[in-house]
Amino acid sequence: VNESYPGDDAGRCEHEARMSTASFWTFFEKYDSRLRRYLIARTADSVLAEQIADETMMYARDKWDRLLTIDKPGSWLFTVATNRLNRLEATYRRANFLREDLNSFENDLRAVAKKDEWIETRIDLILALRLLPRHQVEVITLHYLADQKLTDIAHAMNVSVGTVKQHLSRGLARLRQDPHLRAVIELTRRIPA
Amino acid sequence: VIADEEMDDFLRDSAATIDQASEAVTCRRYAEFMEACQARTERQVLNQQADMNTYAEARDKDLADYERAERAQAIGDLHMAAEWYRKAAGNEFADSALKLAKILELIAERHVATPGHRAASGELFHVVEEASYSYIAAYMVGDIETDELGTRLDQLINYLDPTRASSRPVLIIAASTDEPETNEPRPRPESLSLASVDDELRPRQGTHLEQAGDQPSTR
Repeated sequence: VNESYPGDDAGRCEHEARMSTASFWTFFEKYDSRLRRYLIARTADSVLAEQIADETMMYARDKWDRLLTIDKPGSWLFTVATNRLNRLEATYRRANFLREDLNSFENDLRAVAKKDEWIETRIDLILALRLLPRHQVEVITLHYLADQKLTDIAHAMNVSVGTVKQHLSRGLARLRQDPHLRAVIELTRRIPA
Repeated sequence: VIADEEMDDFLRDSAATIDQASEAVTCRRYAEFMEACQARTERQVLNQQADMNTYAEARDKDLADYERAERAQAIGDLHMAAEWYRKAAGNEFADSALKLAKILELIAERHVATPGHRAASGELFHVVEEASYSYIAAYMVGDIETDELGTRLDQLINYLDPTRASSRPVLIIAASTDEPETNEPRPRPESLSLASVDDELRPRQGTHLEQAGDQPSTR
């Protein structure tokens, strides 16, 4: 987008529009799958996750020119999606619309796994993540799945980096004790890379 | 128990391919996405953008409530602090449930320490009840662990009946509202609303408004 164009004004506008479209495609290609799978790992309802991913990506596209002026558009994308997810979940939870039990988590994941091989091969991990307390799963998924730095996560959650580290440490400790995950890790250990 | 490094490797390996999808799938999804974008009327686009901005503004409002609570707490107005933390906790904002619980516990502690206090009153029951729920809410999101939850609930029951034999060793924790790293400033969040990107230097919503003594609006 910042590439200079030596032609006239009309040509420059056309060039910038084309570059903008091209760069949005690059952005979409880079973040669409990651955003969807991150949201699916976070929430109890994969339909809600898909809906939020679509809306957030659409918002990014509508405001693409402004988004290009932001330092970390990827971080913005995950923060906006996370904020929307948290607020919607809080609303649904108050209204008792959200099913947050093991059976519901599992059924929801099995349904989405039919369409997505990445989910299918990681059902045990995602199930273990979904069972963590909410702040812990938020930090772990933002850090590992969304590839966000701890300082960016602290900004997004409005807590100190120390608190983020505490959630990360406690969440990982719970995951380490998960018997299903232990079986999965032992299995992958036996399979040569 | 899985080793630290092993879990870290497992998570990194799992995440390594999270952005991978076949070219055909990505192209199809992009085509569907662009079609959905272009099928919207101008009004629908405006509505969607307004909706997204509403979420960002709601978050700014929660942050403003949280900051008002902190200011009220700093000048020792616990009831006002509880009011603002309660509003933020209603939207599950940051660690406001835990902060609310600790403030309510302080209120209960002061209530019991009042000269002439003889028995638990209706007000004290109400404070202890809400503090208990708030500690459980904080536990649910992972802000405290099981041991601390048990200790806190046990202490709260002691306020109702000081003669009761505690089931756990009582810790002197009621006055503590510290975060894990007390010297570290809590970062200000970046604005989520792209509508405000152009106005980056303008004061954030809510930060210039009320002082600590302001009354929260009733819903």
